[in-house]
Amino acid sequence: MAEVMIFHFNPGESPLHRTDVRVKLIGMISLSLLLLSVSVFRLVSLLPFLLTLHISIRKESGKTEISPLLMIMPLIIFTGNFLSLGSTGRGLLFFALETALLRTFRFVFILWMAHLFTISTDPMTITPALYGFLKYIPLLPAARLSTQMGLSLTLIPLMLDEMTEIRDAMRSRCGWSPLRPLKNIFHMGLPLLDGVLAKAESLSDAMESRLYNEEATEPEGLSNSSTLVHTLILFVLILFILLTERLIKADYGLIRFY
Amino acid sequence: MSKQLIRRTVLTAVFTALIAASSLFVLPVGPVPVVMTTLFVVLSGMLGGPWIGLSSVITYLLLGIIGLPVFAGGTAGLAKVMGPTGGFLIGYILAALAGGLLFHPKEGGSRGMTMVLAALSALIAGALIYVPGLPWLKYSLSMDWATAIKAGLLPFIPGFLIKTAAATALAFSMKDRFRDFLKSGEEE
Repeated sequence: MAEVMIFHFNPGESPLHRTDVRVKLIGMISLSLLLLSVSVFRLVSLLPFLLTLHISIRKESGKTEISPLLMIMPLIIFTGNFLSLGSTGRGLLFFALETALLRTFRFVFILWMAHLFTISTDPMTITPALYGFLKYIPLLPAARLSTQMGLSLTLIPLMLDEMTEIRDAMRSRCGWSPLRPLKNIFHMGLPLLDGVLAKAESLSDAMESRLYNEEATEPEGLSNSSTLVHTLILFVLILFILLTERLIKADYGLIRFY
Repeated sequence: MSKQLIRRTVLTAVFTALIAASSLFVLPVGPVPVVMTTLFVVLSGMLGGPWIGLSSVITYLLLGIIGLPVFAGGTAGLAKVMGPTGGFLIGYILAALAGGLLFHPKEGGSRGMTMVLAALSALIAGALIYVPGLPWLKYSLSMDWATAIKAGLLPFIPGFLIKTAAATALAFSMKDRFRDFLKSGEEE
C-alpha cells in the first residue's frame, strides 16, 4: 500500500459522496481562492464546515486517516516559512511567527479539502465534470485535457504504490545506500519507467479495443435540485464569511496571496 | 480517435501522474531529502517529446490549481502558483519543452553522442526551471539578488546535479523504448 492515502477513493453513501462532482470542484476552487488571502477569521469560519464533512465521511466509510508523512508536512512548511520570513529583513519575530502559522494552517486546510474530495469522488466521474467546465474556454482542447486529468487522477495512487514497492524491495535486498544517491535514483527510476511504459501500453490497448473517442459523455444539466441546493449553500457560506469579515472588521492577521 | 492519439493521451496522463506522485514521495539522498518532481518533469520531455512533456506539465499545474495537493510536499492551490515558489512551477513548463526539443537522438546513432546529448539536454532543461523561479522569488519576497540566490539556488545545486545525472542515465536507457511505444501507434 502507498504510504500516502490522499489519492485513494473510498466508496460510500455520505452526503459528500452523493454531491455532484462539479459542485465539489467549484467548492474546492472557491475555497482555495478564499484562502488566497488567509486570516484567522476565515480559518475559524471554515473549520466547522470541513469538520462536519469529515465526520460524515468518517461515519460512512470509517477510514479517513492520512499518512504520517503528510502529518509532518505542516511542521516543515511552518519552519520553512518562519526561517524565510526571518531572512527577509522585515523580521519582527511576532510577524514572522503569525504569518508562518497562518500559511501552515492554509496548507492544512487545502490538504484537508483535497483529501475529502479524493476520498469521496470516483476518479472516473471527474473527466466529464472537468469537460463540462473546460469546454467553454475557447481554443482549449477540452475533451483531451479533461481525459488526461481524469486518467492522471486514477493513476496517481498506482504510481505511489509502485514507488513504495520498488523502494521497499531495494531496501530489503540491501540495494539502498545513502552514500550512493545517484545509484539509488537510477535503480529506482529504471523499473519505475519500465512499469510506466507497461501501464501506458495496457491502458492504451484497452482504450483502443473499446473504440475510445473524445466525445466525452456530457454530465446531466444543472436541473438536479440537490445540485442547485449544494451550490447555493456553498456560495452562501463564502458570501457570509466575506460579508461578516467586512462588517466586524475581522481582518486580523490577513495575509494576502502567499 | 487514432491509435497514435490514444497513445499520446495515455502517455501524457501517465507522466502527469508520475510528476504528481513524485511530489509526494520524498527520497532520502544523503543528509537532505530530495523530491523527484523536477527529475520527472525533465524526463517527460526527454522521453515523450516536447508536446507530451508540455502537455503533462500543464495538466499537472491545472490539477494543482484546482486544489489537488500535487505540488511539492502536498501543497496546492492558486496561492502556491502566486507565492514565492510559483516561478519554479512556471519553470517546469520551460524545462519539459526544452528537454523534448533538445533530446531527439538519431536512431542507430553513436552511443557516446547520445549520452552527451542527453547530459546537455538534462542540464539545460533543469537549469531553465530557475530562469523564472529566481526572479519571481526575489520579487515576491523583496530580496536582493544575493539573498535570492542563497535561498533559491545554492542549497539545491547538489540535488540538481544528482537529478541531472539520473535524468541523463534514465533518458539514455529508456529513449528507444518510449520511441517504439509511440511509433507503434502510428497508422500505416
